Amino acid sequence: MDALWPKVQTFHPQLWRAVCGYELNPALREDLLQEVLLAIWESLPHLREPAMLLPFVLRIAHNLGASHVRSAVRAPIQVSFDGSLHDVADASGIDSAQRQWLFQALATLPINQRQPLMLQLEGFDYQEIAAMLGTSVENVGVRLNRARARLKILYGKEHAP
Amino acid sequence: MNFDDLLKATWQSEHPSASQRDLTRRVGRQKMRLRVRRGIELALTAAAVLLFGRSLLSASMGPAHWLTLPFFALYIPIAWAIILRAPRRRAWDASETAEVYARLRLSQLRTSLRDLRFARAAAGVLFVYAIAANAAVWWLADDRWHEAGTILLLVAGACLLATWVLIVLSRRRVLREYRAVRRLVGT
Repeated sequence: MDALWPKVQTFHPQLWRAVCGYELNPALREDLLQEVLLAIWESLPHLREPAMLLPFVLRIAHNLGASHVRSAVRAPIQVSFDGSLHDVADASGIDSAQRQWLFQALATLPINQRQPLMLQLEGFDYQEIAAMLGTSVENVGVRLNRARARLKILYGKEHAP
Repeated sequence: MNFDDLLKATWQSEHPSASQRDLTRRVGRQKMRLRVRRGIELALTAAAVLLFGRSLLSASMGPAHWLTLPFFALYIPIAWAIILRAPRRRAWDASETAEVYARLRLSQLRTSLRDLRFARAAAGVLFVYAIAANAAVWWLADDRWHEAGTILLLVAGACLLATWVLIVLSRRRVLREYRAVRRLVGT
């Protein structure tokens, strides 16, 4: 086992969110997460800067998510009922319906807008996102503006009186 | 709370359930699944080689063996050539930037599509061989060879059908991924 693996385990929430951004079906989310974890496990010896572990694992998750998204597009969405998740607000005041809305709204965005937005929501700045995606800072800005504008419209429609 | 903060708070409130926390076990399970798949492929090849090897060594080669030997001699090397040559997604490819990964993946997917065309051609050639061999034995040989020829034709037909189904399913998946990755690089 690579010495960095225990640290990878602490990034499980970030990896899980990235996977959720590409897949709505809970069963397929599990499959995708396993695929991502295996790729991380096998790639760890190739990591040159251990300090960059989080961008490294997220890059793997987003790359695999981007190529996974179409392979599962026709699979039926089966959402199992989990009583503990419904109608219960967490400490931040965000309920599961709001999270569900966000992931469904993200799924309507083109991949090249969804990726930078998910990375920004994870807390990365424009420069870091540009480095992770291999594009310019200006391009990241344009994609983020379009993604946010689209989500705002969707949010407005959803919450219209 | 403004819209950006709301999005961020919603995003960061998503957490995996407690049952998903053992990542090492999950990786182990995935690795085991891959090993089992490769083990089945090896076992099938070994079974075919053993079957023919035993017949060759015991000098008990009958018409059925002689007719199906070219079939297996061609089919197994081609199948393995495709499996071994397949541009496998190396795990660390995904650790590149999105741009580099997309270009690598596109090239791997293009090779996969080429291999599928090759597999289809190979199955077609083998079916034509079965028809030609069948015609020859019905014209030139006795009843023992007729029976073997019929079996060969049936097996070749089933093989052609199975290959065709496999190609249709794989091609659909590869094309879908190809289109998704192409959108990623905007080509």
